[in-house]
Amino acid sequence: MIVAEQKPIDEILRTLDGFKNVLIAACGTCVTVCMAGGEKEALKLAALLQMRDADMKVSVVTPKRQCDMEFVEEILADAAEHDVVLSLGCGAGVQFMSGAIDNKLILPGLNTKFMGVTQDIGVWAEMCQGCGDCVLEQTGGVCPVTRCSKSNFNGPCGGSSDGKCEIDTEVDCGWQLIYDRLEALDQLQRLYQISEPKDWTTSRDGGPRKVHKKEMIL
Amino acid sequence: MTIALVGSTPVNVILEKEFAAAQMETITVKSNELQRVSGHIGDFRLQTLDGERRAGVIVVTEPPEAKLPGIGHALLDSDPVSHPHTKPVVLLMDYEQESRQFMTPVALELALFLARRRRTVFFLKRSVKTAGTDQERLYQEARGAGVVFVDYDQVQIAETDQGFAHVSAQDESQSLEIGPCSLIVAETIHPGKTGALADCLKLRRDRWGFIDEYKHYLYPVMTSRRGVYAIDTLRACCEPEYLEEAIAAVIGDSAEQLTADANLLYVELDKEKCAFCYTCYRACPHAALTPNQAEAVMEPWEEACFGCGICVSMCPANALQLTLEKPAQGASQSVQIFCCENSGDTAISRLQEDLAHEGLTVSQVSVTCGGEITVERLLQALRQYEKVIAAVCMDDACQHFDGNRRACAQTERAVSMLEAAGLEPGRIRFVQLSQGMPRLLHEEIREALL
Ligand code: SF4
Ligand code: SF4
Repeated sequence: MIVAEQKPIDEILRTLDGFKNVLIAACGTCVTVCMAGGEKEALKLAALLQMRDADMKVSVVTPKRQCDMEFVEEILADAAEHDVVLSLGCGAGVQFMSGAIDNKLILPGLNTKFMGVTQDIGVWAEMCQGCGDCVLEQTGGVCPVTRCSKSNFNGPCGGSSDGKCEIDTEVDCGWQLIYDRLEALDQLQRLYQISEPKDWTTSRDGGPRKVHKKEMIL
Repeated sequence: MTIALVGSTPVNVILEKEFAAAQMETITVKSNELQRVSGHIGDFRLQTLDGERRAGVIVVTEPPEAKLPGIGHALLDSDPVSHPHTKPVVLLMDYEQESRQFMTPVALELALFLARRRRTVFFLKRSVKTAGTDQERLYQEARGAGVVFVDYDQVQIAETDQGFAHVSAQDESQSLEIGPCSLIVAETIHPGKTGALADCLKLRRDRWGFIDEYKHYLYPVMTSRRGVYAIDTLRACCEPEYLEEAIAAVIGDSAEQLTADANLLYVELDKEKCAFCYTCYRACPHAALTPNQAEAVMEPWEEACFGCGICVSMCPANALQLTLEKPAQGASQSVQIFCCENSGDTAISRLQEDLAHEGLTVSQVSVTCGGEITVERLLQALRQYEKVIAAVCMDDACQHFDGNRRACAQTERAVSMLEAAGLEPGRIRFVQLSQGMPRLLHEEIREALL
C-alpha cells in the first residue's frame, strides 16, 4: 500500500490562498487505509477551511481511486464547477488527475511517503523501495535496500548495536533482522555469497519507469 | 438454546446441571481445542479441532493459571448451589515466599466469611502478621467462628486421581493431612491460558491480562463481547452465592439480549465506501464486526453491537453510521456540549436548574460513548457555536474500554488543527467526569460562556 501523510495545515492554507471555490478530492483506496486522504480527512479539512473563511465554498468528492480514468471521470463535472482541486491522493493520483483535468490546478494535500504495511491502528512502516530487482530470497524476506538505513548488501555497518540502528535507537538494524530471520530458518548459508554491487538501473537511477504487459496489449 | 462451556473445570458439572434445569443444553469445548470463534449471541460458531460447533451463548470456565494443582477445584460430587460443602477449604499463606502483608486481612476476611457459612476452614501459615490495625481483631473473630489456624514448616500439595488437591502440612511435632474441596493460595495467579483464550474469543483483557469481567458496571460474569460470559471458577468454589448469581446472570442476560428489540442502536455500513481496511475490526471493543471476504467489505453484526460509535469515528472511509443519532437539545447559540450518556449526560441533567437560574444555556448532544466524538464533529460544531465541550468518562471508567481515551486524542488533534490554522484553540474544551460530578461541568460551562 502507498502510505502518505497530510501536509501541514498552514502549508495547505497557503497553497489555497486566493481560491474561493475549492473541491477537495479524497481517494478511496491506499490513502484512505493509511488515514491520510480518505473521505474523513477531507471532511475535516473542509470544516476547517470553512471556519477560516465562511465565504469559501468547499465541496468533497471521493472517487474510489485517483489513478484510473474511469474513477476520475466520475468527478470531472464536480471539478468543472470549482476554481481549484485539492487532491488528497498520492503523488501518482495528483498527476493522473492533472492529466485528466487540464484546465485547472490540481494541488497536492498530502506528502506521499512510501510503500508499506499497517503495523497497528494508526501505524505504518516502510517495507519496499521498488528497486526493480528484488533480493528478498537472499535475505530471508527482509529488504536490505529499505530496512537497512544505508541499504548495505553484505552485512551491517559498524553502527549496529543491540539490534538497533545508529541513526535512531527506535529503528531496528535491518541486518540484525536479516541475520535473526535466517538463523531461525536455518538458512544462514545464504549469507556466504558476497553480493556484487547492485545494478541500480532497474531502480530510479534508470529514469522514469514503465511496465508493459505485452499479452494484455494489442 | 445451546450453551458452549469453554474450558473444562469440575464446575462444568454443576453448570451443566443448572443449565439443563433451565432447559438449556450444554456442550463442552476444551480451550486448547478451540481455534476460532465467529458469530454473535444466538449464533456463535466455534471452530474446534473436530469441526464446527454451534452455540447461542459461550461461557468461559477456564480458571487462571495457578502454580499449584487443585486450586479452585470443586468436588465433582458436590453441589455448592444447593448443599453446603462437607469438605474443608484450605487457605494457604506463605507458600513460595512470605505472603505480602496486605494479603493477610484479605485472607482472614475470606476465612471468616466461609466459617460463618458453616464451612470447615484451615488457615495454613508460616509467620504471623498482626501489624495491621484490625488484624488482631480479625484473628480473634476468625478463631471464634471456628477457623483452624495451623503453623507449618513444610507443606506438600499433591493432585489426587480426581484432579483435586491433597494437602499435607508438617511442623516439628506433628503432621496434618487434609483433602480439601478447594485450596486458596496467597500466590500470584497468572492469566495463563485465559490470555490465549481471550485472544481467540476476541475478548478484552485488563492490564494484568485477565479477561475483564470486574468492571463495576457489568454483571459479575460479563465480558466485552455480548453473549460471552466468564465464570470465575476459583471464586465459584468457595462462594456458592457467586456461582448461583453467575448462573442467573448468564440465563437472565442472554434472554434479555436475545429479545427482538433489545438492540435499537447499532452500526450500519455503506458497502460502496468501505475500503476493507480492518480498522473497525481491530478497534471495536465488542467484536461486532466481521470481514465478509466474498464481497471484500466489513460487516457489522447488529446483535453484537453496543452502538458505542468507536468504529464510526475510526473508519477512515466514513463508511459506518449509527442507526440513531440523537438530536441536540437546548437553545444555545454559543456553546455545544457533547456528553457521554454514562457521565456527562447525567451530570448535566443535574445542573439544569442551576443553569436556568443563572441564565446559562447550552446545546447538548448526547453520545453513547465518548468514542463517538471525532475531529470532524468538533470542527463542524464550531462552525455554528463559539465553543465546544467534550464531556466524557474518567480514566478506566469507560464502558467501552477506550472511548474516553479516543475522545481525548480526537480533541487534541482538533485543537492542534485550530492552532495550525491560526484559529483560537481554546474554543474546544475537554473534560473527564463521572455522573456525580455536575459541579465540575458547571465550572466548565461557566468558563466557556464567559
Ligand atoms: S458501534 Fe461500537 S460496538 Fe458497535 S460495531 Fe462499532 S465499535 Fe463495535
Ligand atoms: S474501518 Fe471503515 S473502511 Fe475500514 S473496514 Fe471498517 S467499515 Fe470498512
